[in-house]
Amino acid sequence: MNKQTGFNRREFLSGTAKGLAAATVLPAILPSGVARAAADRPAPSDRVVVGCIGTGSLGRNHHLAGVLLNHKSFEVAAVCDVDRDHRDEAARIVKERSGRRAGVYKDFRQLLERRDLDAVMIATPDHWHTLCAIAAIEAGLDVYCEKPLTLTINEGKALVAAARRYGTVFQTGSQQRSDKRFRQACELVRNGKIGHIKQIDTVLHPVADGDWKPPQTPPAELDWDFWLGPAPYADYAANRVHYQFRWFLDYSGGVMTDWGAHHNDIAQWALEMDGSGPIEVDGTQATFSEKGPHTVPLHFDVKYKYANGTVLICHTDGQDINGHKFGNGVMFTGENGWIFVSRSEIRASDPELLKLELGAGDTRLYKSDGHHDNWLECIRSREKCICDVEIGHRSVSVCHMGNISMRLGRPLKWDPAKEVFVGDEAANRMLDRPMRAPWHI
Amino acid sequence: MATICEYISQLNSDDQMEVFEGTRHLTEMAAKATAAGREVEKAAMAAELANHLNGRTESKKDDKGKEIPGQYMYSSAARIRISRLLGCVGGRSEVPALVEAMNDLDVREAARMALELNPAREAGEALIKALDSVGPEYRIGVVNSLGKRAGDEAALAALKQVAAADAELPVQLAAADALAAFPDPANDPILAKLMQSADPAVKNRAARARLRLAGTLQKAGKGDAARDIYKAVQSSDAEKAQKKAAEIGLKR
Repeated sequence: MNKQTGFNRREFLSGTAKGLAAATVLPAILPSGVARAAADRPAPSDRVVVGCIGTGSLGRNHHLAGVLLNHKSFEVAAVCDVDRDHRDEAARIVKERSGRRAGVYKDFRQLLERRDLDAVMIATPDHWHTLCAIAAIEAGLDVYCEKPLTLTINEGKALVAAARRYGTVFQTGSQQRSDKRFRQACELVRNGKIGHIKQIDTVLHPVADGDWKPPQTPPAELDWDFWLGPAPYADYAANRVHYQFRWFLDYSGGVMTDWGAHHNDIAQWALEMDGSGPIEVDGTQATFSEKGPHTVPLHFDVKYKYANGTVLICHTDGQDINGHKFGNGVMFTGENGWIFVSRSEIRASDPELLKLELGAGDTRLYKSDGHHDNWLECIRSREKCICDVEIGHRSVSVCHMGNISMRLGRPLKWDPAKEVFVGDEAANRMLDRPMRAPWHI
Repeated sequence: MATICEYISQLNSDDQMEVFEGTRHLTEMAAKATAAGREVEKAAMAAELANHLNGRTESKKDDKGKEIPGQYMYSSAARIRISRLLGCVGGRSEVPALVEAMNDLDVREAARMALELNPAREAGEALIKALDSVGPEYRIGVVNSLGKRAGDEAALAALKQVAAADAELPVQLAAADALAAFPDPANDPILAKLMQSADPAVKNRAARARLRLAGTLQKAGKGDAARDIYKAVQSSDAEKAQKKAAEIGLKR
């Protein structure tokens, strides 16, 4: 949305009457760049202008270089990271690949003051996701935010409320839903092709204790205090930052949220639980590091129960179920068979199941063949993305309640309608976390 | 198995592995102590932590007979870790210790966070008193903590005062944000006044808070009050995104 001109680019992109009418006020003489654009790229006014917040390895290599700069309908206008080397490298890639000089920021709030952005891509550490996303939403921008969407369940509730309030097009980075294998598996399950689902097993990977590193002076390029942001103060150590943040509960939820946000999301999708969740969680089978420094659960088998009786067990270690050994993926066990799906394969108890064509009366799930393309299409159509904010929130909530149960060492009951634990004050204290001032949701 | 005191003393160590071990054990003990039926155990653990939080060595007298207060027995880092544990198990009885810890500039933020998690009425009262502290950054944190106490009338009254008239604008704006979480239509005039500011950043922030407040009111079943806010924002000079949000709100 170009706030400076008052010209609503998103309405124009969606081809609404208002947007089309606004097109008549464009200057009669078009810049040569526009004419050139018509030949091989969408016109500038038809591109979605993106600011990238968080340009570490994932943000820079996957989203920026791997997708946005390769996509004719996206334009990257700004990059932001609290690590100077990350943001400068991102800016260099933008200039090299697009010929444009992107705005470079340390502070995401300054990036959000720009008047030329339509959307943001957020790939910061987890403890920053919600703050950046809500700020972007309230600045009137559409959002793509990496999973796990939040650090706490209450963050998710606030994020959903904000996105609905502003009519934001929001994509959670749970890209497995845009993978045809996962969609096929969930469609087979939803259409009862293996009968009532008795159990779902998701396998992630175990976590190591980690290596101790002494506290150090932060490197000159990193604003450590800003990196910490809302998280409790800790002395800088190289093993806390840049990918390694995942193994510290102050910044993330470990593999439960890192991979669980993917595979438990698929379980939720198959069970038609996108607006809800399990009613019980048992995290008593979990181990934490005795030596440190990692504070997240290392090994676990967390058991969830849904209201319809289906059990979901989330494992770290490889499993041998239904005669199939696997180390990462989702196994659906029904009354009449099983289906296993991962990023590299799909299998079934009866291989013929995988050749089934859905019939006229069968449920078809949301089809997306590209997660970023889906986001782009929805920015134009203003429809909900395949991993809309509520889906991202509910799926990661399954992971958060698993972590809470593991940390408390006891089973818990969950009310998915009210989104609170039943009869456990200590668990409900963990729905939220205090933030270091001045940050708040 | 060591005692709570022994694990707490490990928090004082310069060896980060020893600190980790102490923290881990205390965290597990706290988790167990918060289970149903273990209230006595929880209270005992919380009391022990509170005792250690501000524990000092014996005071001495100097050559002239003047009393020199004792030093804290635990380092600031250790006291911060103790405060975090009190955030899990602390109740009414631990509030005085956390209030005392708020006098220490190095520890007060952690103490504030522990009070934020403490459901006791006294914790809210302590936070309200802490609004008198110095340092806008810290006071913003206190305001944010009070903003989590929706349903606490005393907190609401304090936040209204701060949002209306605090001498430090950033604190005033933080209080405006916090008011959005309380479903009281009377919060809106305070936010509306802020929205009249000539400073676009203040205006913008106030508008966002008004929209959040409208959402809070709608959720609390106060739809008419919410609609009034949406209409006011829609007809104001708010930014386009905010007017759009107001339009969306009116359609609900």
